[in-house]
Amino acid sequence: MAEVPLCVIIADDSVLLRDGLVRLVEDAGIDVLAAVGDADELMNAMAEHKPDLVVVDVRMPPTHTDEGLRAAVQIRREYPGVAVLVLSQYVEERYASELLAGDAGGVGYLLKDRVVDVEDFVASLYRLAAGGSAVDAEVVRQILLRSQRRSDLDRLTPREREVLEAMAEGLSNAGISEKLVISGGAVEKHIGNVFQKLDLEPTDAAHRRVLAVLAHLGSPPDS
Amino acid sequence: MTTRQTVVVSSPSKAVSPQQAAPDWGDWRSVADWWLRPVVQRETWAHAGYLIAVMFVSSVWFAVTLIVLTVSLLLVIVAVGLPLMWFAFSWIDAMASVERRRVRWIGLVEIEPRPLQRAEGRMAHLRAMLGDPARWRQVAFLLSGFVLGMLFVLLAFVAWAVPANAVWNIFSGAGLATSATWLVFAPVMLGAAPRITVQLGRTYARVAHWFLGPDRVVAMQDRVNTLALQRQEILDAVASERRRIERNLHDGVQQRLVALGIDLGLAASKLPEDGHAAKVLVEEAREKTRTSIGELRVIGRGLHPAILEDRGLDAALSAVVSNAKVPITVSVPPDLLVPADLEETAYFVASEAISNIMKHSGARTASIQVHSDADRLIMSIHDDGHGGADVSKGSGLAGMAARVNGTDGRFDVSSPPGGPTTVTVELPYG
Repeated sequence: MAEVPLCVIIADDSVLLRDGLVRLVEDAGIDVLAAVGDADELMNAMAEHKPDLVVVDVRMPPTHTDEGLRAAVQIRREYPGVAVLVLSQYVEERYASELLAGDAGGVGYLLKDRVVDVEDFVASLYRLAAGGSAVDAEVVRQILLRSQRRSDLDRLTPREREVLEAMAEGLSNAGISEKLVISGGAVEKHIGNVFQKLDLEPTDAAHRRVLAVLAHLGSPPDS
Repeated sequence: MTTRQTVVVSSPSKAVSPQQAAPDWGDWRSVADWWLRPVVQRETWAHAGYLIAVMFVSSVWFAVTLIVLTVSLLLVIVAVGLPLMWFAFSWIDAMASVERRRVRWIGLVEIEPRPLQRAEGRMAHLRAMLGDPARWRQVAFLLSGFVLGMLFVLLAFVAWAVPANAVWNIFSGAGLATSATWLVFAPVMLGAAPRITVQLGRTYARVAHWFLGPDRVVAMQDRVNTLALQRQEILDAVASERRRIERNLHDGVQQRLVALGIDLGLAASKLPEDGHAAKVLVEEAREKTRTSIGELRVIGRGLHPAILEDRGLDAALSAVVSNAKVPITVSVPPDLLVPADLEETAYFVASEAISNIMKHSGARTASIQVHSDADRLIMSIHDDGHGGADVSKGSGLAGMAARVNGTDGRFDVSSPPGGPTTVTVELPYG
């Protein structure tokens, strides 16, 4: 996966973390085109460079609320080919749904802590750049918890729930089989069951699957 | 400036009269002593003086009030009346104020003024005065006080006239029978007159209080409003402090820990092939850990300064000051003994003030002085910076003011452009 050369822009107001991210990303052989500290600089850098991917912190100056998120949404709109990874200090289901509205391809929303798992983090960068998605497991869990489709979920076996969560995070079949340590065949079988039990149209594209699952879980049950 | 006064809900307190023991009814000397003693008591003559003054003063009040009001009312038709009205009310305010103070003659506490309405601008102020019930109450007192005063003086005069006349009869050679009759009444009235005088004086003061003193319900209402405001300010202060702490945690420690995680993650991935690079990363991680511990200590100190509890205000302030970049002297009385919450407030205000001085003032030296008197802790923080601090601008000052208000204290900032700046805080005990 790491063969495709990637170039990214990093936006984080904490110098410390920005430097850490730059180092991490460069260490993984990814080009850093620019590292900036707020949303305006980010948009300027976007106009100047042609990144494959943008990594952006949700809270940035001046108000430290959701500047990063708004910038991410704007980038999605103005530069449709650019993948966006939003890093957040907290799990915010609302942010996730705002970000994922429309198309989950090339959109990621991860807790900042995930950066520490260097390999996983780099893998999700590549996945995003390839048009996949990366939704934090914590966010998925929250969406599952709040889902009004408890009865649907209750019909899943524990293993199927794990597969569902992994799917929602944006993992491909191979990724799921690696994460849960089960065979590819087993993954496909579980996915088939999940889709059947939730009455979802099966689809192979991982990022479309994410959307389908999240949209389904977020919507109220059919009467 | 956010300052407030404590509204004391006062009532006409009883004059402190020496309690007279009941006489021994079997012994006529004892009875006579008990009955006649008030004649020579200070209290009696204070009240007599008060009433005699009423006779003169209240006539002046009556005349002046009547004249200034009538004249200015009449002249309102031509425009001159309005400015005159302004003067009229200033006179009335002043006369009422004298009358409030005068009750001190008879051992009462000065009457607290009813809050008077004021407004910015001459016309607005005039309108406020004309529509102010408290001012019309003053007018009512200045006019009716004269009538009442004259009546009281007359009553007191009659009371004293009986014994005085008895003496007069003896010396003026009135008939024996007449003199004897008067002499029977004289001792009775001689004891009664002081008592009547005191009662009349007190009643007059009470009337003055009713007209000129604060409305207890309004005062209570004011107090309730103040308390509600204070409560809101405390809640706001708490909320903003929590935000500040959260921000400190988020921007400082948490970021540093994530960065540290990155270092360690990279180090782990480098370890197999590049031991040296991994070692460098681990060293950096250790440095970040050290800094984080320091940051956590600072945040913790902001939450609750342990040193304050362990070593007291002097030590705690000295610790804050020692981190400052300019020399700041601290003077705290060695025997200072104040409630813990006030100490904490003082510490908080001082810390904030010092961080303001460091950030904004450009001061070269500063000082903190703490002293206490019977009922409050007073702290003043002075710097020689360029001044211009404003509560409405800096959130730091507003936070301090809110915190001080929460203790019912006073908060003052004097910071003219060009400096110097002095922040004064008064924190009442309990």
